[in-house]
Amino acid sequence: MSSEPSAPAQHGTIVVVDDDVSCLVAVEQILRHWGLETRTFRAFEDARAYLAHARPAVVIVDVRLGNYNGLQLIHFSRQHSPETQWLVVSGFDDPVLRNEATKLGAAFLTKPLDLQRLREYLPGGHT
Amino acid sequence: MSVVPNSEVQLLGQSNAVQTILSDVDCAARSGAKVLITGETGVGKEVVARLIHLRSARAAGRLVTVNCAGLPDSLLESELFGHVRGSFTGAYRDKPGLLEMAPNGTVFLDEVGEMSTRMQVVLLRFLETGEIQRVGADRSHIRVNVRLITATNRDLPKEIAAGNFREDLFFRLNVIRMHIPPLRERIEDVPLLFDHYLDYYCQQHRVARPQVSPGALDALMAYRWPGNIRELRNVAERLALKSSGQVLRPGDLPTEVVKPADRFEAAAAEGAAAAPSTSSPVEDLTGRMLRHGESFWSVVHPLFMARDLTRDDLRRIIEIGLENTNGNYRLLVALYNMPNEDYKRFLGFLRKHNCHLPFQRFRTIASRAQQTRPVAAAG
Ligand SMILES: Nc1ncnc2c1ncn2[C@@H]1O[C@H](COP(=O)(O)OP(=O)(O)OP(=O)(O)O)[C@@H](O)[C@H]1O
Ligand SMILES: [Mg+2]
Repeated sequence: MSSEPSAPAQHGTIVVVDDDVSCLVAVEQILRHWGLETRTFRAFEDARAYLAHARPAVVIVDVRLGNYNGLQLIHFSRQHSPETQWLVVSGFDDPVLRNEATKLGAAFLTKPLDLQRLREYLPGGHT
Repeated sequence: MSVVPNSEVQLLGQSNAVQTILSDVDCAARSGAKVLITGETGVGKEVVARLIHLRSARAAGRLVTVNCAGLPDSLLESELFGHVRGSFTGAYRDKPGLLEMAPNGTVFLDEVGEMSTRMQVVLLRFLETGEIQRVGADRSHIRVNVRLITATNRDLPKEIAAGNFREDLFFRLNVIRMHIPPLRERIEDVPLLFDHYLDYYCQQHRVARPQVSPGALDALMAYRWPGNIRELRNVAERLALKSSGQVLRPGDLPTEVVKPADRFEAAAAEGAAAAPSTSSPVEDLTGRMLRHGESFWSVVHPLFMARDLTRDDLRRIIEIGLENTNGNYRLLVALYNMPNEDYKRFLGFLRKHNCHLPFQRFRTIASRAQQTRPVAAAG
């Protein structure tokens, strides 16, 4: 936290949460390449602590995060950051979890990520 | 299944852990998503499940609890999903399952980690369709609107790795995860909980409420509480029943609390296994005090004065004691079977012979030392 400039201008920030480092790095690189400000988290707890206060534009979260389900982060952040767009990604297309995600207003994407689709959910994606 | 009045459903505690859980309870109550509650026995999993239900939009509906442990598979299935007449011997009429009994309510599946793989598949299917198929029926006949809360004291990821629990089911049940840490990891909650339950039982049994001496409180806080809050509650009730209104001292507490021999024996056994050396006088003497109730004054003091024990031996004996009491000297007095009044004399003796060890380091390493450090290897 301390290494960051303390500007609360998080409106453009894209958060990526995935415990699989290779996925995490790949997505981060693509987002940076697209010129988007990106923050990454490998651990549920760290992401949770950050999202308790932050109001990012978009959060891309993996369903399977060790002992936790990425969907839980949506529940924790919804109240204070209702405008955040959530993208839930999973290696498995589980209809029950897809349904849970949709009920929460999140998009559900399966891995490997379709970059075209991903872009649609990001700031400037429609232009 | 016992009926607990709603007013009794409370999660007391001032630790950060409990405060976080309380805010998570509200979050979970608002969301309606499935919740998996984990934690050791007696930590309050059921309390948390009840709170979530009571604070949710489903509070007007029922909360039905089903314990998945101990029921044979077929019975559990028929409990949950119901059965049709003639589906097995004794099924004389159609019977609705518990999932049908809580429309717009909550079903709490306790000990979900005990479910057989076959039942896991049945549950998986139910989560997907929301439809109930009674045992013996040839098609699903009804859709229900229930919220599922589950709990387990097992380490499910480990069970998944061992092939005992389905990973897909785990992620479906584990949308919101609430982990309740054991009491020994939040000892700051002990005074509040103990006070509360002592009050409660003294009122219930109409006895005078005793004061708790600082030494007794220290003992309660140093204890490991393997049965967590349920155990603390039982201890409070036992003490209330015995109470004559006198101040509670360490000596009044149940022996397992004041003399955690299990801890000592486990540690000693570990130490012996690690270093199969001949047993030292230090071990013999501490063993006699910890296990056989002999007093420090009769066991250690005379030997030391006769120089049969070295100063290092004595220090080691004190060290072992402090490891068992979390660095607490008052408690050490009780642990080594001396009357409370001897506290000053005991400390005076240690100081005089330069064996009064600073207690702080036992405080900080205590919880780790109690679990892993073999006693014999420490010196
Ligand atoms: N934080 C708390 N404040 C007050 N009472 C509590 C608290 N936590 C637990 N209790 C009490 O401790 C007892 C055990 O709690 P509970 O039945 O919820 O434990 P559990 O985790 O479900 O245990 P098990 O795994 O053995 O089923 C209950 O009597 C409950 O009221
Ligand atoms: Mg229980």
